[in-house]
Amino acid sequence: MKRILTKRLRFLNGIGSFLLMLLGFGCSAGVEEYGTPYATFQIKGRVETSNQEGIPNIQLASIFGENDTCAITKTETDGSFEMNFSYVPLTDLKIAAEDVDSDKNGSYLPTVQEIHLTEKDFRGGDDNWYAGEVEKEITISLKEKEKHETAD
Amino acid sequence: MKQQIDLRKRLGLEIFRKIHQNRIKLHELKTLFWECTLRCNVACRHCGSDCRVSSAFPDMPVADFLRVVDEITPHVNPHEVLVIFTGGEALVRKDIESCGIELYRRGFPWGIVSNGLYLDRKRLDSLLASGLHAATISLDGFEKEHNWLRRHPHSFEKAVQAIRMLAEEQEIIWDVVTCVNRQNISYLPQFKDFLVSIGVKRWRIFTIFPVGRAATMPELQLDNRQFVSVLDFIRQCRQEGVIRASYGCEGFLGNYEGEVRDGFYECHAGISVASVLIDGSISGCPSIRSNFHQGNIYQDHFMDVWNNRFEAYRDRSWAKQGICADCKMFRYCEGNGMHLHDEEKKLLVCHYHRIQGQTED
Repeated sequence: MKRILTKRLRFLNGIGSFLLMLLGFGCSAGVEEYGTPYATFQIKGRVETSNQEGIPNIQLASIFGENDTCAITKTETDGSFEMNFSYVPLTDLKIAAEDVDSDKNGSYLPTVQEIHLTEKDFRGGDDNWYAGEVEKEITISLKEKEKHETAD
Repeated sequence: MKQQIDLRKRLGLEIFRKIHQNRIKLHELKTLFWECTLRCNVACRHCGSDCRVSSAFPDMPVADFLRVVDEITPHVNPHEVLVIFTGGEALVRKDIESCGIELYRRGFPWGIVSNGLYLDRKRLDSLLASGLHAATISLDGFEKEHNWLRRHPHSFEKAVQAIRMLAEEQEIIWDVVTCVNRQNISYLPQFKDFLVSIGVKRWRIFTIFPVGRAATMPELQLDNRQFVSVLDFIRQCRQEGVIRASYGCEGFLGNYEGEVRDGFYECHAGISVASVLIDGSISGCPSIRSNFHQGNIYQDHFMDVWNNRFEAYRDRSWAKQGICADCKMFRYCEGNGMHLHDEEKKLLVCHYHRIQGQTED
């Protein structure tokens, strides 16, 4: 109920702002967009073996900088995954893949895949702090652990 | 400028009044001030910051403020809530960067209000590395007048140095704030040219309201004619388009509404603006020195207070008294800014009446 009311009030304010614009007035809320630019990211793809078979239950983390983890997910039964998150529009993103379910689906070595973004990757930004949306599709190939590496 | 509000503007004000009423119902937090210290490196003549409190209050630990931020986080889009460090002088705290980087990691944009005295290259680089993307620097005239107001012999030099550095930064959103008073009003056009020459693009002009130290210094107050001349000056600047000048956020300005700011007058305190004061008090904007506190972070959950209190901020019918009792502009003004009411809720100054020439100097 509160959500509906909030949406209705925002909608009415949007109409009011439009009418003010038609009259030649601004409708600034008086808050400048100081501070942090941000972008939305959609990273999706597949984790597979060297034989291109999808690997389920692999944990994936999107990491910016040294260790700022933005999103974590696990692969589906066919090895596919999708991560959606928003963060500062940095350009050096790492996707860390780790086998976290022991040898339930086989045992694989962890890996980190780097994605270097450019300005062209950010689409649909406004003139303020929203830099745009990044959509990337990647394939991560994991190596199987040698049998002596999997021994407890 | 004629004082009669024309039909177009009246229609705009009525529409905005509805928008404002909806904003009250929504009361979406958009700006959070943190009074991170009451310590200061100057002793400005007009400062209202110490009119009621003592600098004996210790600085609030960063962890305590971040706890408040974490209380807020689930209820907002962090990217749409600006956190501003204020004081005192925020830069006397050496750990501002540690708070800033934590805000940055949480997705909150943050900025500082500063007199620029401590903002050298090394400190600016440190702040930038911690995610600073916004700053407001105070500059109150040319050297003699600025240093007179700030009561520090190097204040002007340091503030200009800080402004020149900010002008070179591509990622910073920043502006300059000037308090116009009897010492600097005579050369506003020349001062504007100077600001443009050092790279200032956004300029906010305030007049000094009579609280704090300023209450006892008539040379800081403008008479009605001077006040109107400041508004005319801002209007002219906006028409020229060389620098984006605006009057400060306070005061319903009659026919100057829509001419000297980006939007119509609105007091955002308690509607979209809140502050955490030095002792943990939860209030509207930090310009409010009278006790309109709504709770305390050491006893209350910030969002409980934000959502369930702030009645006096969101229903200003109590302000319809005294000079406001029969005023036809109350529907747009609602008794002026919260910070212009004293402990007895009496209004200290009415900008509209000043413009109309009805207030005695």
